[in-house]
Amino acid sequence: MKHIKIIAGVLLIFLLLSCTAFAVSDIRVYINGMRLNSSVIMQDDRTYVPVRALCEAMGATVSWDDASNSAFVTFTEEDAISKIVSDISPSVVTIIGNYDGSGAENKYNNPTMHGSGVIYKSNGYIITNAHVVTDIKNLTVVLSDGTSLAGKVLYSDEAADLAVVKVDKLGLKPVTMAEEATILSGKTAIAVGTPISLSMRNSVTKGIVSGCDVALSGSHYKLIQTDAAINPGNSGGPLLNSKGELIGINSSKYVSESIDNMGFAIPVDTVKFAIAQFEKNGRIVRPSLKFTLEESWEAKIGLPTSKGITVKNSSEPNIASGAVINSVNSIPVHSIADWNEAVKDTYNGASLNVNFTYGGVTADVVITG
Amino acid sequence: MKKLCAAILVLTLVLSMFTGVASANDQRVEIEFYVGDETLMINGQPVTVAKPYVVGEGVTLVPVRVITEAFGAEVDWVEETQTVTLKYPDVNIVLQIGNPVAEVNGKSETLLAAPELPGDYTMVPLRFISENFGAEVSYDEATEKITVVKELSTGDSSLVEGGIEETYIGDSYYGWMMENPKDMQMSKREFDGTETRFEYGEKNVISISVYNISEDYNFEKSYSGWKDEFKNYTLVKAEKNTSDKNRKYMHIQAKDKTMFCEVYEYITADRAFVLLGIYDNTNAQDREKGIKLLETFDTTFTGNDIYDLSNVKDGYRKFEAETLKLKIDIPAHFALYSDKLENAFEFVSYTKDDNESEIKVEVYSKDNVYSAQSLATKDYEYNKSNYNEAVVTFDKQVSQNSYTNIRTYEYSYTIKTKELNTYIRDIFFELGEYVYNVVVKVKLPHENKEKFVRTIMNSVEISEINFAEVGTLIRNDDETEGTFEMKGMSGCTIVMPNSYEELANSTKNDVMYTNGLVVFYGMVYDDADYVYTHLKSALREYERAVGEQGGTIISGTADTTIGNKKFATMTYVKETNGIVAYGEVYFTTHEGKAYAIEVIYPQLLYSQAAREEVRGMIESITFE
Repeated sequence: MKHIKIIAGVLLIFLLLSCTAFAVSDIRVYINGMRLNSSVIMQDDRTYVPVRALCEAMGATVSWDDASNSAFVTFTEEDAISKIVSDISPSVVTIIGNYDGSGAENKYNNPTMHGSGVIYKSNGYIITNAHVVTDIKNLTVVLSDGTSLAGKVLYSDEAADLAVVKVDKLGLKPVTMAEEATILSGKTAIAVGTPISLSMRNSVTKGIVSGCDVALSGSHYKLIQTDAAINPGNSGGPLLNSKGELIGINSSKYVSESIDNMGFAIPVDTVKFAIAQFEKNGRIVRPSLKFTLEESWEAKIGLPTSKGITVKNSSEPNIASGAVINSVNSIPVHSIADWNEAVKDTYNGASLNVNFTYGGVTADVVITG
Repeated sequence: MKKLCAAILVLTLVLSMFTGVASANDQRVEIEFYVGDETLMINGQPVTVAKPYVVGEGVTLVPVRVITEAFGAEVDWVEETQTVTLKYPDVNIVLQIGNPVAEVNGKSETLLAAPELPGDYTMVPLRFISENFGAEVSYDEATEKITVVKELSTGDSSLVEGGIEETYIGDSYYGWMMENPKDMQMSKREFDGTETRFEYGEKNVISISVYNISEDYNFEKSYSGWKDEFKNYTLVKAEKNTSDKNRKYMHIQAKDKTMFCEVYEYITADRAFVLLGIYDNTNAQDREKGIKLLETFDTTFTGNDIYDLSNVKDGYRKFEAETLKLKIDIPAHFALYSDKLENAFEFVSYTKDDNESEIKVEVYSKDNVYSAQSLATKDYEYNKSNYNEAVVTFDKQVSQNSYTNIRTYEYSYTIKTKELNTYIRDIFFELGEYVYNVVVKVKLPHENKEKFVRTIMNSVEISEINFAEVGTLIRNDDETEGTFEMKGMSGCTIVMPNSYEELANSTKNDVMYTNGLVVFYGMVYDDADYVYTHLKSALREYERAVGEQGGTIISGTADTTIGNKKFATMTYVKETNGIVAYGEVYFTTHEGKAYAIEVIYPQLLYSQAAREEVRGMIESITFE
């Protein structure tokens, strides 16, 4: 019986080697988005790929034992993560430059600053934080393989803290963006970037998603909270899930120095929104309001509340100061962050449907802005 | 078989068209066409292929030949798998007919629509491939034209710079140099270059200052003065060398447990260089670093491995006030006297022959109150009425002028007294919400004061100030309004303008008031029964005394009726300690008391307006 098995095995390999002409199918196998570089065979409606090629593509290890005629495959979560990281590295860049300040002292000291960025389009488009590239000159992008390229800031939005940098290079490896619905507290979060010193390029920290939809004072939109260490240098770099997909852009702008293990990232949906706005309008178009907004004290300290947000300093004819806004474009708003998020998701560029209560009466009104 | 033939046909067609198309990555590419039109403009040449069409949600498909022809990409076709591979420098794209998943450099990407092979031509998605090849695709809704453009890389951006690499640094204008302290931070460099400061290691400071040698400078006194400064320290070194008159030198070092200090003075023909070093004496490395650095200092600027800190270009330094968005060229021999305020800057000439010439720049909000013209007129009239017309000559009126970037309202005046001979031009201009005032003061004689002012004003560059950043700026015109009753002289009340204030050492019956310019002295004598004739002769005595002291009598003792009261008056002018002043004396009596008033005016301000104001005070005197 053993012999037959061996012969059958050899035959199979022989078949594999000799029957490439018609046995090779046009079936392609992708592992986490990367094409598996080996022959794929279709037989009896089953797809066969070489064990070694598959393992290496997944980051698993395989060893062949002659004595027992067996292949041993070991695959741990760590293997998966480290494969993800090495696959994603080419998409992570370091951004460095000189401070664009005047003054003879600045010219002499010539301080350099740095942050991280993520390639999102293969023809050289990089997303990063706006604060990384503000007042920067001689912007240089360093790829994971060490290549330095001159970069240019194409778009920037301070409120969202996102900016787009362009380099003159084709064929770069873009990151895949995750679906926002898949980001859940407790799931793995991996931050890649260049914290503190440039010798730490492509340094990786891992944690979990600690919270989603976190409203922080100082942030226009809501953020993802993570305990993956986020330091000033890896600002602008990616926060990834365990599949290597982008779930957020790390921002050290919101990190408090006295608090440990609390980092924040701009969620991928906000990133997608910003990119779409930049491409369409060259900037993020927000409504120009004829009033300011104030949130309830519960909202200010972060307690859940059913209270709306109050209108102040209104020169808007349809809504008076003191009115309390309950929803915008049918989305309930209880805080300014809620308002910003609702506008981000639904603003049509011209008007907003606002439901508010004033003097005991609730009304709907359309405001232009 | 048919499909195979077709594929081969396409391939040969493509290959045959492939002659002479340079496939460099930095060629400019341009494609223009209309959906449904089989002739496309590719890099300026009309090419007829299959008609491009749209599928799915607005995905335009074009024949593969359009791509290869425009970009010069290589194409491979595998019939069995119906796979197209496009090769471009740095980018490989693999597409499969009917498969919405494509590969870019091995990475899978999902297309909005799959490539198709409807007939003889393989149709591929235009945007997907163009963008990956570095082009931008745009669609003009009005004309329905699709344009694909890949621009040449401009290559004008530069890479990040490191620090200053030269071995030496120095200032070519003042003429000094020393080794470049590459591991120190420059913590200060004055606009006029008079101070350069370095810091390192948290506790160490080195400063290089440049001064004009003042008339009363004494080398030996300065040397012992420094040693005196260090009397609470242990002296480590005290040496000096005056053998070269054009380069005198002193070097003093002193220390205590925690600090090591040293000072150098280099005195050349025109300047004094003072070097100060304060080091952490508990750190030998830090201390030695500073000492060694200052040893390399010299009062010369030579060699070509030297970084010039000087900002002097063609005899001027460009001053820039960032938040005020203002630039102005200041002559190199002017020092920045004051920049404490956000909206006012003062530069003063700093040479042996001239430390009077000045340039002042101030910015204020218009606030619907001022304009360049109204401020110019206001200041013109105020100054004209307050200056002594005998020594200050004003232009006939405010006039308009224009310079390279600005149009102005301005006037000028010249002051000529024994001590002063100055030309002043007061210039006003505006932009947006703000008014600008530049005052140029030139010490006369000057070879060409018009050109001097014009060169400076032609260099003025302004752009609109961001109100949100700067806010409101109000000019502090200290014009106090109203009057008060001064009763310090017993028995009478004098109405004085509120701008007059009592000088601290007034006593009863001996008062001194001033508005900062004119001084009013008033005395009451009630120790005897005074009669008018006594006072008149007393005044004649005073007049004689003034004459003996070198004063000139302008109008001798006389009777003057002011506000229906009879006064004995006298006016004189006298120079004391180099300062020329005018005096008006008024004596009178009332019910036996003698009242003596003397008003002193500085020569410059002995104007009609000032005299009238004082006259008004005298007129207002009422006795009880």
